[in-house]
Amino acid sequence: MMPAMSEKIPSATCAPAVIASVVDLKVHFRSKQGVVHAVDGVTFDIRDGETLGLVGETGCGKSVTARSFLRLVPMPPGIAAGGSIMFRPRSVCPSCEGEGCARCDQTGRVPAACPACAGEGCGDCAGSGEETLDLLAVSDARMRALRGDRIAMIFQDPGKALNPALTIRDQIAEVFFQHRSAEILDAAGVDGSSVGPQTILLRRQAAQQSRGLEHALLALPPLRSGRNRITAAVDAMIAAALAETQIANPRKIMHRYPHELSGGMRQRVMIAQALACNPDLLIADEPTTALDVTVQARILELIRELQQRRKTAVLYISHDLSLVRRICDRVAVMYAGRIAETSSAERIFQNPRHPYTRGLLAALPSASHSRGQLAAIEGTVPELVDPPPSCRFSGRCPNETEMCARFDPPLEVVDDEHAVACFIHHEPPAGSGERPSFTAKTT
Amino acid sequence: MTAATGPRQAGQTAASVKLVLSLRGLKKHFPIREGALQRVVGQVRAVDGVSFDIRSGETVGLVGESGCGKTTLGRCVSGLSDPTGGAAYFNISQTDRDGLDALLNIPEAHHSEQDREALAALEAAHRVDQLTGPAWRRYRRNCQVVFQDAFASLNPRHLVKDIVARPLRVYGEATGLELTERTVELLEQVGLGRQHLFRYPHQFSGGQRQRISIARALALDPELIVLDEPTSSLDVSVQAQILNLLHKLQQQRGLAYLFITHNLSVVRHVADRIVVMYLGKVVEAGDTATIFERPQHPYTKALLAASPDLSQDHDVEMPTLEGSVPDPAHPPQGCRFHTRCPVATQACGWEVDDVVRWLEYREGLFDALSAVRRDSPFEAALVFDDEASAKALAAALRSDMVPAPMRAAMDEPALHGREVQLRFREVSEVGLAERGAGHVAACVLNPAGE
Amino acid sequence: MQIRDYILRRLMVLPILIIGTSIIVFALTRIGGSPIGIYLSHEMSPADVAEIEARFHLDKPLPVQYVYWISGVLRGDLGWSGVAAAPVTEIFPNKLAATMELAVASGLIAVALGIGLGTFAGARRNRLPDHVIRVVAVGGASMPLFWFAILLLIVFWVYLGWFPVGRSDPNIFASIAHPTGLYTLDAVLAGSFTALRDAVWHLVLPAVALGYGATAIIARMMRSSLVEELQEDYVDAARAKGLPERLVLRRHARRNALIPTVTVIGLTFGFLLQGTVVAEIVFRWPGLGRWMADAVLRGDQATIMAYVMFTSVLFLLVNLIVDVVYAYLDRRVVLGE
Ligand SMILES: Nc1ncnc2c1ncn2[C@@H]1O[C@H](COP(=O)(O)OP(=O)(O)OP(=O)(O)O)[C@@H](O)[C@H]1O
Ligand SMILES: Nc1ncnc2c1ncn2[C@@H]1O[C@H](COP(=O)(O)OP(=O)(O)OP(=O)(O)O)[C@@H](O)[C@H]1O
Ligand code: SF4
Ligand code: SF4
Ligand SMILES: [Mg+2]
Ligand SMILES: [Mg+2]
Ligand SMILES: [Zn+2]
Ligand SMILES: [Zn+2]
Repeated sequence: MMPAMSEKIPSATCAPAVIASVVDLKVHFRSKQGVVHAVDGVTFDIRDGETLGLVGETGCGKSVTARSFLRLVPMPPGIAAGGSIMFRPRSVCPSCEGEGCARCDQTGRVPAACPACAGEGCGDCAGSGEETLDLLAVSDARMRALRGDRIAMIFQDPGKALNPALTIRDQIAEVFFQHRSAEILDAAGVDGSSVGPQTILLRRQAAQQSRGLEHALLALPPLRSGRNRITAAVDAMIAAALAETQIANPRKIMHRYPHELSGGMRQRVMIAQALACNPDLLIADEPTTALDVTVQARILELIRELQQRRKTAVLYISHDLSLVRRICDRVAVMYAGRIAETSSAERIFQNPRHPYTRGLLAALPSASHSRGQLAAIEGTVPELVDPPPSCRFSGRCPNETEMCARFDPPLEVVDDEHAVACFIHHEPPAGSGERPSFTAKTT
Repeated sequence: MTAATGPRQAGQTAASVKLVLSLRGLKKHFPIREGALQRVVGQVRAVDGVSFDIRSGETVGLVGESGCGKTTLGRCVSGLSDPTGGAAYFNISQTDRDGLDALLNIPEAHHSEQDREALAALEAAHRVDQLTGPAWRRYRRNCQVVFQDAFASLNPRHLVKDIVARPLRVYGEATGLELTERTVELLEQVGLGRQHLFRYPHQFSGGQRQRISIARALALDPELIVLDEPTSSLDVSVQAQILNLLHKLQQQRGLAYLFITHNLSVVRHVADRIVVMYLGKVVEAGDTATIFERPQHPYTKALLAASPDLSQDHDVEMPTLEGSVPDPAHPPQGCRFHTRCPVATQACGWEVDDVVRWLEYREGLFDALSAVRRDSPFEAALVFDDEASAKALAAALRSDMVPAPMRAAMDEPALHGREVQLRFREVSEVGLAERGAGHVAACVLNPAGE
Repeated sequence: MQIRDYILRRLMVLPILIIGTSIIVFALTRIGGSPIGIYLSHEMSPADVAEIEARFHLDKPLPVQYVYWISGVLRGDLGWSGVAAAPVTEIFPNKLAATMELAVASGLIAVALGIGLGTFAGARRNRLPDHVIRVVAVGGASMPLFWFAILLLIVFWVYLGWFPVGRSDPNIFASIAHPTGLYTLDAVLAGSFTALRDAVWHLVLPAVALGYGATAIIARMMRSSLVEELQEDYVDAARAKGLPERLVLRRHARRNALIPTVTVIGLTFGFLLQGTVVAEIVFRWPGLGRWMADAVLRGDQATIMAYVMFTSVLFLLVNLIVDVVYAYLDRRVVLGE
């Protein structure tokens, strides 16, 4: 999975323990009212093997940020207004062939070597020797190779994210056809390297490239047995993937249509599909919002267990703070297209620094509030059409100072791990600079 | 069957406490039709015998998982759909309610002439489906609903002015200038104002739309509002605004709320009493504090454990429920929760379906199962394709592979060639039993309370 | 409901629908006046007229006349066609074959082209091909059929002489057998390439003229439902699996976009049947439509009723098929709700 060609030279790099790094990401939308700054300078890191929670209220840009990883934001109306998403894919650990050893921390995988220097360390990789890709700049073909294989996504509503017209089997099979056709041929006992017409047809079948008449040919005797072996091999892979998510009787379930399954089952299918190729990064966009609490608890357990076993990094998006606290290692709080605060989960809940985070936590109903006394945040989220250079939270903020309406507070580290974008924690820059914002210099 | 009658604030005598609504054995079944002739082949028991009271001025929280019948119950309560069994009694005093319960507890065959008359009088005065004329109108205007999806329940082509004023116009409460003034008044009560009169629903945010729905529900000055997940589609900060608003209105107008939700932290915050539903039945009901501090039913406990809460220690493993909610068209015997209950006993209603469900997890065996010949829910013969499978099942049923309480509840499985004959002890439905003052639960464990 | 149950149920109500249709057809035709005119000539005496009236039961009250007619229909007697001067049943099959050949050919063109163009445009929303196809589709949906047909006739027959009118070259078709009455099929069965070429050549103009409107409707529907489907989550989910855009479109979006389109295809069939009347007149195609037009002008009620009955039943059947296909495509539909 490592083509020996160099993709775009990375313009920003990430620290070694980081698998993905969003740097000053800006995604805007053209609308009748003007340009909506839906995501406007978002910066955060996802560390290797961690679960990072991205929380915020409706419309603050969580999904747009998540979709940007896979370039799934529709353009137009979307506009890639800047920034980059650096990603370090992993490859199979050479010492243990994926079995797990000390060198790879029992994960069986190590960072892929930089194609420019073969791991020696060069300018491209800032001396780290690891391959770093800018997801917003790689070629379409490379992006497709990453999707579903190295980076996978779970959507909010499993009822909508599964195609109603295809069986579960047909949908999960696609992942294997796209990314594991060599393994399928192997398992089916087809010699993938020969160049006979039969093999070519089967090879195309295993990569889901057959078209029109080929299907008819594949159904005829000389090829039929090969095709059936491929089907059997894929079925086995699908059954294994479904079994991982504790679905009973996977061989039966996989022939069902999505509407024949319960919500929880559907989300398990989505998870099985997302984890089928053992991705390095899993993006979960509110995976339990559409589910019941008891089902939600099971799904969360499942995600957590699979994540810990496979050491997959997870970007977990939610608007439910208590849930994020339960499953995330670190949290980034988003407000109106910006990151307001990032920190470890523990700290953010014990010692929230940003007035918005504090407001959110206080607004959660609990036994300790007397009725009618919930601390609602007054006002509404600002329109994101051509926002002025001020703190996005000014106007609703209880701690607002005169400074807040004139300058835009940058996200700055206030103590180890904890970064806040608010003037009560750091001074505004000297002078009346135009828009003291994130240092936008990439791309 | 006096469900959850908790002590009311001091100073109120039984007679003076008014019950806005009393539900007694309320049922709503939906027919399932099949075949070319569309014959009714079964019933979805969406609500299956629910009893509880709503006192004036209180908030009753109704919680439960998706599909357990909360919305259906709310629609029956507010008169939007007619129950298929049982009844709701409107505006009944506590003494009358006690009298009614006493009469309902006597089997109909044993009613004396006097009983019959008394019952007929009570029903004519209070039973919702027997109300007529002005009494019916009074009931309809006194029970209003606010739905979860404010956008879907507001006509997108009507102005806010028309939406909020509609109930007033329909009931002939006001016209012309007075109508507009009353509408503005209502909007102001929910934190909107005159400037919003001439706008369409899509020009508002989610929270504002929910405010419009509330204003519309308030128009006729009702005593009871059914709130069907009023904040589920809202953000926490907006939710807080709406919850504060609802509380303010309750204080000002002495409203009673039936607050339907699946969010336990919300219900804990808003409700005086809580009713927990599972698969069309009430499994537990009691004061909010009691339910949260001393839950008695295993389902309530599981629900509480599964709901994330900030105050909770987040490192604790979440105890989770196995399986999914069974089909309400074929509710399990005995206790409906026994298919998922972590502490089920042999007396909980184990039945043939449990064996079939268990078999679904054994691929080989399940594929070999060719027929189930049922004599009753508790007795059946499982027919397999081959003798070996039948033998394997019989052996498994005697081993640790199946839950111990299930084994204990059944007779020794009899093996006849390719058939396995099963027989479970018959168990009747587990009813609600008193667990303390105003606290009831439907579970065979600890029936006497702790 | 199972698909099988659904079909059974629909078939069970079909006779009722047909009887209802027949009553309406009968009543509406009789509103146009007594059918006696077609049998009369100037030489007849009042006694002759009365005799004819009695022979055809026209002196009885209407309900009785209906019973005579419908029992005749059930016995396979559709009455006497004054226009053709022969029993309706004798002429009907030939004309029907001609019309069906035309309708099916234009239907196939419309479905294939409509779905193809719609998909092409929907996948390229708001880009040049989309705009071009939309303009073409608007033209098709709004241009009157008779005008477009005459335009084609003038350009391709009168000026260019590329295509002929009529149904076939009688010299070629006199020599081969007509087991089906569909000339293209007959030619294939007879193994005659010249005959096939001739049949197709004659078919092109009327089929294109007739199919254009339907193509436009289907293409527009396909485009808009595809655009809608492409915004669904499962399309993004398919992309997130790494599927190339070609497969996202073909395997995922297109199949679901077909679901609403199928309903429209069923409705379009009625539109096509109607159009055959105009197309057959313009291109001198010897089918039911032209016969029907003559019958209407001359008050030949037996023919009119036979034609209307037949097309209504056909339309009912086509819609049943459409519903079944719909249920097959959309596994979620609860049939009969
Ligand atoms: N396809 C689109 N076209 C136009 N605007 C869009 C589009 N997608 C998103 N936006 C805008 O981007 C903003 C952020 O949307 P996003 O979906 O990321 O919010 P979110 O944080 O995921 O909210 P939610 O919690 O409701 O899922 C919204 O204000 C929305 O108006
Ligand atoms: N009109 C109907 N016809 C048939 N079945 C129905 C109908 N309405 C509801 N049901 C069934 O009744 C059961 C209860 O539904 P209901 O909507 O009351 O659940 P709920 O508790 O409100 O769930 P949720 O939390 O998802 O809103 C469900 O199984 C549902 O499928
Ligand atoms: S910068 Fe000012 S307005 Fe913004 S959050 Fe901080 S104090 Fe509030
Ligand atoms: S009766 Fe109680 S113990 Fe038995 S299954 Fe039901 S909830 Fe569990
Ligand atoms: Mg989102
Ligand atoms: Mg509901
Ligand atoms: Zn290793
Ligand atoms: Zn390098």
